[in-house]
Amino acid sequence: MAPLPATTVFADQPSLAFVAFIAFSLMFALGVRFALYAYWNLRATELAAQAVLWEYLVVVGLTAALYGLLGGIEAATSVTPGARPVATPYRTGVLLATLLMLSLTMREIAANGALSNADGDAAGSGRRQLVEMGFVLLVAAAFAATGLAPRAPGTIVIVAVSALAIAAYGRRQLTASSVRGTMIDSLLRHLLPVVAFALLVLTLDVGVLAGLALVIVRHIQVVFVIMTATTLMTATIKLRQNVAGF
Amino acid sequence: MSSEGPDDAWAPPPAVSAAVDAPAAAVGRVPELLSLLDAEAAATRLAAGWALALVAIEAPDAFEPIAHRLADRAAGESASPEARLAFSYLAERRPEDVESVLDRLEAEAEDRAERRRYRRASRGFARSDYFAPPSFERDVGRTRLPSEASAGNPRRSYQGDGNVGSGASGDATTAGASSSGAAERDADAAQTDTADADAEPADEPDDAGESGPAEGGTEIGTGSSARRRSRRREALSAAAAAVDVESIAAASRFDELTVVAPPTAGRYADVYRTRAVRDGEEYAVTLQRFDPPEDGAEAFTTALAEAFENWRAVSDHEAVVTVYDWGREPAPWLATEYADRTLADRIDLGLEEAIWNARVIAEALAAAHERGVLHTGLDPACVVYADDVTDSRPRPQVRNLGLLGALRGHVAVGSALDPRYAAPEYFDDKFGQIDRATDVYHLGAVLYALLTGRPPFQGEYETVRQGVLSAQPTPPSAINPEIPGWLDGIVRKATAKGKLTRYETTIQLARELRRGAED
Repeated sequence: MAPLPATTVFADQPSLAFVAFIAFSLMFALGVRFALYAYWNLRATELAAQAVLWEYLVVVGLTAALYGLLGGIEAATSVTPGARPVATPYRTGVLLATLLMLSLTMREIAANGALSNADGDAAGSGRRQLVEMGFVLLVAAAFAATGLAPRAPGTIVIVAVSALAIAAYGRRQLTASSVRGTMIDSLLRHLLPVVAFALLVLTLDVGVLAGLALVIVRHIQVVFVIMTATTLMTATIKLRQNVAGF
Repeated sequence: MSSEGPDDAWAPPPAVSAAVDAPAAAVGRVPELLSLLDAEAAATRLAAGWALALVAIEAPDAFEPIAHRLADRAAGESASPEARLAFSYLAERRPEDVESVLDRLEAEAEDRAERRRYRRASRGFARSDYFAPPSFERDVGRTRLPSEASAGNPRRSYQGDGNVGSGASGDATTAGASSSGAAERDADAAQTDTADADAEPADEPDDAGESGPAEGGTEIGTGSSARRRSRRREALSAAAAAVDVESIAAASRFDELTVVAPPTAGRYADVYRTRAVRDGEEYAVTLQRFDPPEDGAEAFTTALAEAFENWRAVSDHEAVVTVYDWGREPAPWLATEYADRTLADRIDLGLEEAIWNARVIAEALAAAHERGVLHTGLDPACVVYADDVTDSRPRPQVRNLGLLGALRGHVAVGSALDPRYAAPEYFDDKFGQIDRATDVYHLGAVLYALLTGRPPFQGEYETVRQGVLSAQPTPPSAINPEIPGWLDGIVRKATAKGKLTRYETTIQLARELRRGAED
C-alpha cells in the first residue's frame, strides 16, 4: 500500500478546514484554561503529595493546548489565500503526550490514593519510573515518526498501538474502592471521557489503512477533537471546585 | 459454624483450620473466630479459643486486640470458659503484655464508671472529657420537669407521644417533648437528674417552677424539703430574671415561657430548660441566649440571626433538632426542641446501631447541605436524642447547625469547638476553607467515636493538633477486631487530611455505610 501524501488535507477541503479550525481553537482555549486551574490548584495546595497530581494536570492542559495550537495553525494556513500551508502532523505525538500524562495522573492516584504520602513506596516507585520511561520513549518515537513519515502505515500503527497501551495502563490503575465517593474520584470520572475521546482521535487513522478515505477520517476526527475539548472543559469544573475550597 | 463430616463427626471450621495452618496470616479471621466462641458445639468453641490464642502469639500486632476481646469475654456473669482458657494461655506465654492489657481495661472501666458517676452526680453529662468542663458547663440542665415523679399530679405538662405536649390537666403524661420513650427516659432521668445545686432526692416531686408550687401529688414536705423547694423557686426566679424570659416570651410566638431549671453553660451560650405554651399546647424547650460582645454587637446579632434562620429552614428534617422560635431582642435567643442526652453519653453502642446512627446523621447533614446550610462544628455533643424513637431505638438529631460559623468571627474558635473532632482546616488554612468537606471530616470523626467509643485523637491540645494535621488515627478495627475492615476504609476517606481525598458529600458516606452493611 502506498504511503499517504504528506501534505495537509485541509488545503483541499475548505469546509473541513473551517470546522477543524474551530475544533482546534476550542482545544487550545480549553487546554489553556485547564492548565491554568491546575496551576492554581498547585499553588493553593501545600501538600507535597497533591502537588505531583497538579503538576501532571498542568502538563495535560499545556499539551492539549499545544495540540490545539498546532492543529489550528495547519487549518488556518491551509485556507489562507497566499499563505503556504503548514502541515503539523507531529501534533499527533503531542496528543499522545497528553494521553500519557492523563494515564500517569491515574497511576499517581492509584499508587497514593490518600495523596498523603509524597514519597510513596520506594520499590514501587522504581518500577513505576521504569514504566514511565518506557512510555516516554514510546511517545518520543511516535513523535519522531509522525514528523518524518506521518502517513506511513507503520507510523499509524505505532501511534494507535501506543495510544491503546497508554490508555489501558491508565485505566488499569484505577482502583474503585480506595477513592470511591471522594472528590478525586469525581475528578477521575471527569477525566475518563477525555482519555476515551483522545484515544479515538489517535486511533482513527487506522481507518485509512482499512480503506477509508483520508478526508472522511479527518471529518470524524474533528468531531472527536471537539468532544475531547468539551470533556476537558467539564473536568475543569472539578478543578475550579477544588480551588474554590482554598 | 462447624463443618460436619460424612458421619457427623466434628470437623474444625474453616476459620480455625486457616488459623492453625498459618496463624500469622489469619488476622483477618479474628472476627469470625470471636463469633465462634458463641457456637453451640463445645468443640467448636474450644477450637476457636485455641485458634485465637495461636493467632495472638504468632501475629504480634494482633496480640493486644485479641487479648482485649478475650478478657472482655472471660469476665462477667456470662463469661465464656473457652475465652478464659485462651486468655490464661496468653497470660502464661506473655504475662507482661497481658498485664498491660488488663491495666488498660481497668483504666477504661474506671473511666466508664467515672462517666456514669458524673452523670448520676446530677451536674449533667460528661459531654467532653477534653474540656474537663467546670461544673456549670453543661449543654442542657438535666432537671426533672414538674411532676415527673408524681403519677397523680394534674399539672403534668408533657405528652409521651408526638412532639408536642398536650393540654394540661388530667393527662397521664410523661416528661419530655415527644414519644412514649420519654417514660423510660424519665425513669432514667429520675436516677440521674438533679435540679440544682441543692440536689433534691430523686423520689421527691418537683414544684412547678416559676408558675408556683406544685399542685396535687405534692407532699407536705419536711422543713428541709420546704427549704429546698423555696431555694429552688428562688434559683428559678433568678434564672428567669437573668435571661429576661418575660421579654423573650413577649417577643416570641409562645403564649407562656417558664424557666424550669437553673441555667447551664452550653457551648455557645447559657442554656435554660423551659416549658413553653402555645395555643394550649405545651412544649419542652431549650432556650439559649447569646449575649453579644461589646465590639461588633450588630454584626454578631446579624450573623446569629442568619444562622438561626438557616437552622430553622432545615429543622423540618426528622434528624435535625426543631427550631421553635428565635429572636434578636433583648439579645439573640433561640428556642429549640428539648433533648437531654447527647451522643457523648452513649458510650457503648453496638456495631449495627453505631452504623445506623452515622447514616442518620449523614442524611441529616446532606439534607442541610442541599439547602446550603453547613454545620461546621459537628461533634458528639451536637448529636442529641430527644424522645423520638424509631425502630425501637432512639433517633439521633443534629443541633447547632451553622452556629459555629456565625460565631467564629466573634469568639475564640478554640472555646467553641472540640479540637479532637475538628477538621485540619481549622488548625491550618493550607488545608483550605471551612466548607462542606469540613462537615464530612467531622462526620467521619463522629463515626470513629461511634465505632470505638473515643475520638480519633486524644490528649493535650498540642498532641491533638499535631495528630489532626499530620497523623493517622488508629484504624477502628485495630482497636476492636470485631469491627469489619471495610469501616476502616470509610473512616479513612471521611477523615482524610486533604479535601481532595475526602468524600465529596455526606450522602456518599451514608451510601458506603449502607452498602457495607448490606454486603
